[in-house]
Amino acid sequence: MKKNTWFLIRELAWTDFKLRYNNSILGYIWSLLVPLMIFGVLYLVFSVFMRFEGIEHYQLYLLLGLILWSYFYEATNNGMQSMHYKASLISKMNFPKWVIIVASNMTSLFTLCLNLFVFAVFFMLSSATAKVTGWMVFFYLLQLIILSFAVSLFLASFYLRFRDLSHIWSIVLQVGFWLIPIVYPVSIIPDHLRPVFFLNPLARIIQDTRSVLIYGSSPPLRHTIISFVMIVFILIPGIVIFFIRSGKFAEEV
Amino acid sequence: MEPVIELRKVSKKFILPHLREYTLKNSILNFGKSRSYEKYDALKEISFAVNRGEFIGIIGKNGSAKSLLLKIIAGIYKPTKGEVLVKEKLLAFLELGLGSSAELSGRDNIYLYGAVLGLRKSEIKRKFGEIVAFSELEKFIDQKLKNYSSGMQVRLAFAVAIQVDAPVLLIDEVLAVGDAGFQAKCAEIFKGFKEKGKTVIYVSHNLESIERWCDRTMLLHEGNLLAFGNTPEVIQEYVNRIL
Repeated sequence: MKKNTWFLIRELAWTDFKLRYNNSILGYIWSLLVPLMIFGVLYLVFSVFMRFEGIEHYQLYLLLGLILWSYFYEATNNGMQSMHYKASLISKMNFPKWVIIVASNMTSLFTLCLNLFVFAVFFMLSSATAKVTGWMVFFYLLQLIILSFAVSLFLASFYLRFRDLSHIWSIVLQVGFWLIPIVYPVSIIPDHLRPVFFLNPLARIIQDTRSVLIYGSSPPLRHTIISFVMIVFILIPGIVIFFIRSGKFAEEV
Repeated sequence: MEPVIELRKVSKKFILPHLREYTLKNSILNFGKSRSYEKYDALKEISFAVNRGEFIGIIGKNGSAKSLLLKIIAGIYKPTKGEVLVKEKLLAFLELGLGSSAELSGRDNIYLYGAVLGLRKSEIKRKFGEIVAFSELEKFIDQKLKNYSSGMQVRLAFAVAIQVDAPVLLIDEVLAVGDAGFQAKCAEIFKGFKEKGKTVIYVSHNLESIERWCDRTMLLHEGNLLAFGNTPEVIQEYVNRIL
């Protein structure tokens, strides 16, 4: 690895982040408006109109689910198209292409950090208390980051060849949103179907993050092992395919 | 002398499909059908060697694959056939100010462009004053790049670019812009390259500057290497046979 690779990644990520929020704090506050409205509407529908029984701190449950989901959503979407966004760079400079994906994911990570700060504010305003298991959140966030990176590698490998992949992926994401307990509690999933729902590593990660952060229960080690094995099974072929395909990126953009 | 860059029978073919198949939908709909496409030989069995410290020019009409050849040497494109050997660290300047962003300040762009060119943060910090002084943009360094004139943008990018210290440089017409003062600065830089014994490959339409700087020159025409040798002779051939 060249000595300046890490600096290049940081510069690319930070530049995109600044541009996205128009170089100002106010830009970030504006960008919060849409997610907060989605949160507000979902909260209104599922907490006031239809009530889910037996779910403590529903607003925190929902908000955390939405924040983690939107990281996955943003990281994979931007990661997929990042080669296209950086077309001139790729076609005029020879450097490792994974740098672009890491930088793109890092931009999304900055947003995740800001969003988690908003979650912390909501948390303090609620009746929930801080839990000793809270530190484990870093562990689950790491899983989320690796999973999003692995999926981004896959998508970016094929996006330049198949430009309609972005449409297909947005459909997958829409379906995925309702196949993961983000707005609804796990308890409404029929018992015999639950293991099927949790085959999805993202569902596992979101649920486990809530457990340690909001409810103070640490998920069994078994969960973590299963999640990690699944993530590795996505990551390794992702890396292999990306390196095979990336030699052609400069010609395809 | 030991060659620093060597190309052995390098060819590049592009496939131009008659039907654009850039979507999964089209690929599925047309699966199994015979696809019509044209093959386009952009570079045909190019072989040459460049020695350490040589200043090499490339001339040829538009579309004679000059820039493509640079991209192949830089490793951005892979050759369809043949081998490309580059024995030292190489840096390609195919566009000045690559990756810079109009919405960011000159200051931010110095760091961004520096990172793209492979500089380290500590190096840029150390040389920041020098870069700004060379670009003569002290008063405007915190303005957004979009408020710069094109001349100012080039000066800024150029000031960063010359901080890079690679033994092999590929330069593609990036210096064709700028006023007389800027051209004089470029001349200084080129002189410096020669004194330091850098290996340079320089693409230009400006035959005067090719004649002034290049020890040897190659003439490309429709993907063939027509001539490679003594600069005045190659320029003469270009003028007589092609222009």
